[in-house]
Amino acid sequence: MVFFENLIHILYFVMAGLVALSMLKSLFKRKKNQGVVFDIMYAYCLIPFLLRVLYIK
Amino acid sequence: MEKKSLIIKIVVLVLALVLALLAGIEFWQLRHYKETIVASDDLTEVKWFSDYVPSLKNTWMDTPVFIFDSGVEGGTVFVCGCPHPYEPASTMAAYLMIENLQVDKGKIIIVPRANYSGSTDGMLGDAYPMFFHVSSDWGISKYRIGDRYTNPLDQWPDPFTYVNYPSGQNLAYQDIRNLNRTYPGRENGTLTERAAYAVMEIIRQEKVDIAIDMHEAEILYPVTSTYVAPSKVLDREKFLETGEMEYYEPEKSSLDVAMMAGMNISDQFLMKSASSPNTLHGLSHREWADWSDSLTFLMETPEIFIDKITGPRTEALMTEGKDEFLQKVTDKGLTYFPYDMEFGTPMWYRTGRHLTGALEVIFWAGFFYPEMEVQVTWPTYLEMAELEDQGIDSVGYYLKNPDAPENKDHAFTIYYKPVGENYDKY
Amino acid sequence: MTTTTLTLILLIIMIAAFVLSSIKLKSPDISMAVAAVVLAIAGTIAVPALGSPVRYLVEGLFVNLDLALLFIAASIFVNIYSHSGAIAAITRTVVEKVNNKWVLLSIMGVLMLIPGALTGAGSVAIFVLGGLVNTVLEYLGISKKKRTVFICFFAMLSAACPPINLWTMLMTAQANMPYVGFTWLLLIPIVIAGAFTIVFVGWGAKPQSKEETLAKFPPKDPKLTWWRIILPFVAIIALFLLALYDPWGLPVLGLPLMFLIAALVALLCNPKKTTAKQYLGILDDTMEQVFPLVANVLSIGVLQSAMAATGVRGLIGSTCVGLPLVLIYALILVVGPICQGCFNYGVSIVLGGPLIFMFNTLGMDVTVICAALSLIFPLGDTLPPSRIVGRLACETTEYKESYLGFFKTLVLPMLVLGIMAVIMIIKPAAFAFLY
Repeated sequence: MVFFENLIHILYFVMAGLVALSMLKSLFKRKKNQGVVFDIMYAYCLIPFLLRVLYIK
Repeated sequence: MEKKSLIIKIVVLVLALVLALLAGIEFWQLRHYKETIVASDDLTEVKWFSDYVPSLKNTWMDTPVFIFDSGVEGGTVFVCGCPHPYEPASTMAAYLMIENLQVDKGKIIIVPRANYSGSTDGMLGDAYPMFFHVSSDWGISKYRIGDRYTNPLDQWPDPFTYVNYPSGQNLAYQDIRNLNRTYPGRENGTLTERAAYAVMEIIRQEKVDIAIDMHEAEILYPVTSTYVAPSKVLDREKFLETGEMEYYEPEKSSLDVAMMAGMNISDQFLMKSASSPNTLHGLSHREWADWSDSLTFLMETPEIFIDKITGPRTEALMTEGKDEFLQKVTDKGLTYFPYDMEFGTPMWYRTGRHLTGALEVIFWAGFFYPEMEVQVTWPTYLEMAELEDQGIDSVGYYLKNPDAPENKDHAFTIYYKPVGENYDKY
Repeated sequence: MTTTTLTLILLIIMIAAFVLSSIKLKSPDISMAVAAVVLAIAGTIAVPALGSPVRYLVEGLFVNLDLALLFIAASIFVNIYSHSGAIAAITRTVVEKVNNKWVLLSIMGVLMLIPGALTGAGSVAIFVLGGLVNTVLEYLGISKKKRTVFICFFAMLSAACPPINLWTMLMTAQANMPYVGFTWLLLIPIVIAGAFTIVFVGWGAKPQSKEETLAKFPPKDPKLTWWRIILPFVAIIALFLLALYDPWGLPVLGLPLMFLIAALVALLCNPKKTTAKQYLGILDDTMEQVFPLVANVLSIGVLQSAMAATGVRGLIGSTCVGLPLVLIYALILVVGPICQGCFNYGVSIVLGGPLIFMFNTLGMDVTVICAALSLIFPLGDTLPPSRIVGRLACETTEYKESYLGFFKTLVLPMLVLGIMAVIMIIKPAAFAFLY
């Protein structure tokens, strides 16, 4: 059980990493939500996923 | 993509990364800051949670357990500090015990940072300061103020509802990371459940007679400034056989001891006594008593930071506890503590309450049940109050300088794994 | 300067920053972030001991991180599931087989309750079923505004619906109460308010021609068998039930992973030939679709942190709980939802917890009161600054007219639920038999 708990824990970090990558990609290239305001929001919302996947917060 | 637009995107990204870096440095500091304490000469052994639950080794939930054995037959006391790291007087009291303890009869076991992982994170959305400082005549020491819960870096995700083991009671989802909701724990459960199980194993394997859990509570909460102790305990055999939870009055009553202790210190500070409900599971005062043979006590000091509805949340608010909003709601009769913002709820006051509160239950338990008698001393509330009257920071007064040559052999870095040579000696 | 005056000035600065940036930038999410930054800077200037606000401005982004992940995972599930044509097939069957308007509306209502009841988030109900319900309601001849009201209100009910009510959970955790005994206390008012809304929305609506409506749907793929349609839902419901009834036999999966597992099942059940590139395209579109909501919940966390740090939260909380009892009864229906708009689930801690303690002091039944508050708070999900559910409902039905116009229509069902909850708060003992 401990092994599975650890595995799922890692999976969540992978998830956070993928979301961070997706947001980084969307910051530069996206179909909807154009404009500087959304650029700022994409960059800002990237932060928690980035810090989580870097095992900082 | 237009060049201008690309430049804007790059600038925005760089700014966000700078923000992440600046905050990340602070988060990193909180996560990796190591506190050092100087144990008293009476220290005889240091164990770890992982000695009781091996799967905790090298996890951020492992933590040192300090054992002071007088060698004279008597009772055994277990003191749990920092079950909720955002209640820092609990840790401070445990540190002052470890640094100043003298035991002449019986054995004392102290865990100063029971949820080590939780101490490395901050309360989300509550804007807690990361550290508080204590000044001594030899310098300034820095201590962490952590989270109520285990750090998600170490235990993630949460379920959609938390089911306590083995009661089957549903609790809030995030309580799966709350050490004081996961008792009696599971040996192969989540990280927090395993830590809870380690605490239970300490109590059972070390044959603890008196178990004390140190907390802090909001003054809007009825159980602030209170001893919580069970008057009835679970019939374990019946539960294991039939799954039915039936409670009976044990021969030795924690609540009687708590009430006596509370009465005896009433001239020093208000300390109410409350009976542990047998309808709420996962808490130390319930499960420790239900799943071991010890007398159990939970102590709450008044801590206004937890009340949430305070003014600006500075370090001074944590260490002095002076707040206009809490005074207003107290004046309207809504709080459960005679709060006066002139005095506040300073760190020394809360720490001193724990120190004396613990000594009192140890004394009265021994008085009622002589086979449990333990003779121990550490700084008391009255001694600290006297120092404060003289303008001396009483918490700092009782802290020892870990860098002083005479303390070198007794200095211990509190971390999730042994740091330095001193752990090898014990 | 007293703390009250100081925090009042900070509150005014925060509101001004929010209003101005809302007008200028036309995005509530960035306006919340701007308001938080302005508040944090003003707070640091006024109270230098607060130190640099950088840490808690970033820390705030973590408050709702798990919720954001849940939104993302639930959207991925729905979009992959929908890609197979399953949702269109279900809608087609429902329209085909059910002839009675009221039965159809009731089925839609009950269906809407399920996702929120299991996840605790009304937005998930809209993600998962909003499109389907909108199509069916359109077929029933219900106006766009009322369709939005139906979806929005049932999403709020769904969040409040047991077994998972996050407001109740947070309040019970704070008040040291077990999360037990709330099922009927929550469910009965929800059923009454839901039934009222069905009548309110469906009254006078004339269903369109069944043939014409069915003609609008894409033709049914013969390979899309029933088991392919049902299996993804079976997977997620099985995981929920296992987690609930065998919590120690299963590792903690967490809602996001449960939805991703269901998405994987949906992917395996998809009869259409779909390339990896097409799936990546779906993921990409999903991320863009869900981003405004992710930005919204993350921003509200930042605002929450800034309000806590500067003492603005304390001002609001202490003022509210300090009101005389009669005023609390009179204002809870306004103050509760407004605070929800500001603090999101945090309202349970800022306002709910202190109120529970206060009513406890008066010797009133706090289990009933806790349930009642948990019915009132979700109503704030239609109010600024966050108005998450309201906004999402408008997006789902593509309602482009004035938000206020929609809100005015929504007020009646909200009042029905709200008044029931207020009665529960005033006379809690009368409802104690429900648990």
